[in-house]
Amino acid sequence: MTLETVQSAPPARRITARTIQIGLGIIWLADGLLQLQPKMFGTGFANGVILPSAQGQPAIIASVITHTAHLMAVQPVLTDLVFAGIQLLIGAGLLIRETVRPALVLSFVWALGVWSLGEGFGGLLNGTAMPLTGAPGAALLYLAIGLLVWPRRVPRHADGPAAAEGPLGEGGGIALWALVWCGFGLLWLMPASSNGGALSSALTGAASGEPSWLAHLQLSVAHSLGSGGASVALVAAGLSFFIGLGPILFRHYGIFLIAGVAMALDFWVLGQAFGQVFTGMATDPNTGPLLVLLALALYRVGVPAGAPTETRAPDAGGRHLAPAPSAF
Amino acid sequence: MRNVMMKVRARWSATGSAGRMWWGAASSLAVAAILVVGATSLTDAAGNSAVAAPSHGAPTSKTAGSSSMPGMPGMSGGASAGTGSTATGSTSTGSTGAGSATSPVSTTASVCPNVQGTTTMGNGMVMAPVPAGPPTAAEQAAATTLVAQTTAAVAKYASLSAATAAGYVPATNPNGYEVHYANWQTVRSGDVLDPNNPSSLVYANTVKGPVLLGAMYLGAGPCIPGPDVGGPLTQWHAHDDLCLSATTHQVVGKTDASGACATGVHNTNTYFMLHVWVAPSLAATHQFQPDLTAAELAPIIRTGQG
Repeated sequence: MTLETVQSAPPARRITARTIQIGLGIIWLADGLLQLQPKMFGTGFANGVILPSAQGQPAIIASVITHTAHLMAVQPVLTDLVFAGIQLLIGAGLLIRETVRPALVLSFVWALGVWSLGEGFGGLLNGTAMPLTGAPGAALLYLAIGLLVWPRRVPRHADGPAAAEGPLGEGGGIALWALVWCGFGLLWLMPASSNGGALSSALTGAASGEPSWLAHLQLSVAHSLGSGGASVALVAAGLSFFIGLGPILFRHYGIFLIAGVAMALDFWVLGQAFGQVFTGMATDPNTGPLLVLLALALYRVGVPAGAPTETRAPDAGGRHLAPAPSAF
Repeated sequence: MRNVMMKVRARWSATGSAGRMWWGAASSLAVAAILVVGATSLTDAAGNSAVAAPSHGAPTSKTAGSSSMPGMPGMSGGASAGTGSTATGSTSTGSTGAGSATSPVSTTASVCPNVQGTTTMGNGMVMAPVPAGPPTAAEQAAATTLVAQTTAAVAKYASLSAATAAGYVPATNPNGYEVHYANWQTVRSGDVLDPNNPSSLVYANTVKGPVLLGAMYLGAGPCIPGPDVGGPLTQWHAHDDLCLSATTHQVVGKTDASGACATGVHNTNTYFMLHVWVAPSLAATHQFQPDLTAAELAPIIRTGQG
């Protein structure tokens, strides 16, 4: 197979970094709109969303979160409008090609703020982090995906996955994927998830305030788990390590991305109740959609039928460019 | 500097209309954010200074000890934050509540430092400040109304199964003598002092099964006392010594002498709470009392009669 034959193949539709940027922008816009829900304009946002994240945190962090929530509750309407405006601005900025960089910079700062104050560091410091319910925090995934598709001045690997166009490259993307999923694996083994009744309790808690059809589903699963959630947590931990390490160990890693998406959607429906969007107090769609977006950033699609799928000519550095399989 | 300005100008001239609009919106939002932060900080600072230095020179978080409420002997004034009086719930029958056999040990709580004027009692209760002086007629009326409305509204939860069906789940050991059940949806909504939707219900596990003792209202969020509708009669309290399960958020124990939890995590950002007892034996003599002693619970547990 020669370089020429590869180049002669018709141009393929593929998921580009730009596609991921737009996807991320849409999620940020959704976040901004969620911030404009009627319930968010009262003190419920500061008291019901921000303050609870202080619970069980180290004293210094708890104090910062408490004081921040206290300040937010002083002018809840104005504060909420500013919060919504910032997220809408980030979303719009990602949709406009020439403002992607400043929008991403703003998103990084905002995501770190949200992760620390709004998500209480994803529960990592107080032992409540459960991947099922969104740990270690959706905000970190905004940051990771933003880094992955940061627009380079000189694009590269125009035939690879979207992540290959960014500063971290495909390898960096795979490393990030492994970090996220192996992190999930570790969290599944922590007492917050692996204690007998932990999953059941988490699902029961997540069902509170949800529409009856969803609550029924969550409570049914919680009931069937009972106090036997430890074995489920162990299996989930194994699966998470498998999904995370697969792309590092195998050349054709699509199946691991698909498995990751399936598991993420499972979390999203059962443990995260679609980001609790039905309660009127959701601030973001939680980790489910972001994990799907992360998988898409690593996904290689669109090679036309009959196009070469095997080894390509080495690039200037002697490294073989990744093949473009017709399927995972 | 000049080079930077030239670069900025060059960039700006190369920016399309959408990009320019975005930068315009970003600048406006930045100014708005600065103004909101400034206004909020000033408002908050003004509020704090008003609390710290009242114009009439009197301490703001003082009460005049225990002034019984006419017709409701259980109702009495709240704890004084600075005068050294005993805590709430001291009753005409001699029963004592949060401050029973405890004296204020500190006016600086180890939890919720944002709430000024609290008093920490020897038994780990953190009493919120209440208005100075005996309750006014309006405060007494408001307290009576709160009790009446709560009693009527929670009657539908006389059966524990009705409460669990409505979303109340154990917040303390469900096998204990006295069990608190919380409705986290109500708690999260920040709906305070709504008799139709109390944050929590308290049951006693008696020889005849669970018996409804009362309702427990929670503040709008951790470290936020609710409104003193009944003035010194309705003093909110928190606990600085509770250990919560990291997974179920149930109270699983209390801190040891060093302030550490053997199990669970120390709850440093606890909610403030207010009990309204509806069981006749408690409502008559222990109304709004922050906690019940074993002696007060024992007759109910033995007889199954609230």
